[in-house]
Amino acid sequence: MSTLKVLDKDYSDWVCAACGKPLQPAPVELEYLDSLFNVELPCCVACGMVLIPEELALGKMADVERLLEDK
Amino acid sequence: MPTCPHTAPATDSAAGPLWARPAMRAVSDGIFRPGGLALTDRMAELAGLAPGWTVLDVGCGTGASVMRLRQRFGACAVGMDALFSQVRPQEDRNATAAPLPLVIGTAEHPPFRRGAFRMILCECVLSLLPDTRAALATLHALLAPGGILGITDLYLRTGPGSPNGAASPSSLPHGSCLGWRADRRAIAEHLHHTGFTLRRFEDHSKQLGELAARLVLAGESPCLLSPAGACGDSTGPDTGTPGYFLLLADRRTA
Ligand SMILES: [Zn+2]
Repeated sequence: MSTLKVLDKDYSDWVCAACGKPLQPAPVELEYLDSLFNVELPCCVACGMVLIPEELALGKMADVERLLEDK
Repeated sequence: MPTCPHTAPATDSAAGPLWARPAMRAVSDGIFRPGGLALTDRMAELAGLAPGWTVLDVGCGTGASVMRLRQRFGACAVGMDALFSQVRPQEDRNATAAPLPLVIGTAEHPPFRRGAFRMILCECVLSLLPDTRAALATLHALLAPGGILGITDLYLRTGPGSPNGAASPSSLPHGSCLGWRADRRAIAEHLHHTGFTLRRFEDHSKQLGELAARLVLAGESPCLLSPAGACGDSTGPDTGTPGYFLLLADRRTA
């Protein structure tokens, strides 16, 4: 499956709290129940920490959880 | 609810068919139906599809399943679709490869002789047709004796109100892709009346949920994906729970 762009905002000016390095969009696997989704999320270039912005956690991801729990 | 645009009839909806939207293109890799090629493989394997079988894919779209059946199973597979615009892109993308045998035609008036096929696939297509029963009768005629029909489509996992209370297939709004609005029992009866014997029925509703989830991640409104097409009452007792099934049926000769 292709990698989905899921964020509207640009997070390239954010830095990792642990390393102080910038975040860059990178492909990430999200797992819900036993479904996998390939999405693009901001990740720390040094330690690989993945940022899941609030807009995503409270928006699309919450919708997805509800959809999958129905099935 | 994702539409299944494989042979989506021309729609006059202002929003346009779901498959034409960028989100649907982004999530489906060109396979616009739940389960994608994995369910195509599953049907072929369950049917025991052997090299050389003549197979017709009704509503072939861009021919992804036809190519799969030819390459992976050695089938003599051909595709038919009502919409020329859906048939063409595969040929454009594979200009150097031999063109796939895809033809324009409808399930009501297929351009093939009787008994021409060993197996027929209807992937997320049948419930979109205006007269499901007439289409099944035509497919019956296209199958050779001993032939197998493979269907994937939407259905009611639980009927409205009660488990067996599914509405009659003919009450399905045309082109809604809400499946037959029939439950498993009603689908089996439908097949029986058109000369088929149900051999296997599997629920693959998880695939429907995953496709819907990808659409939401790509930016579609979850409201569009709910069974009733509206927010709030998506799993209410009056609409039934939508699901996705795979079935194999044997052509009866009697
Ligand atoms: Zn870091």
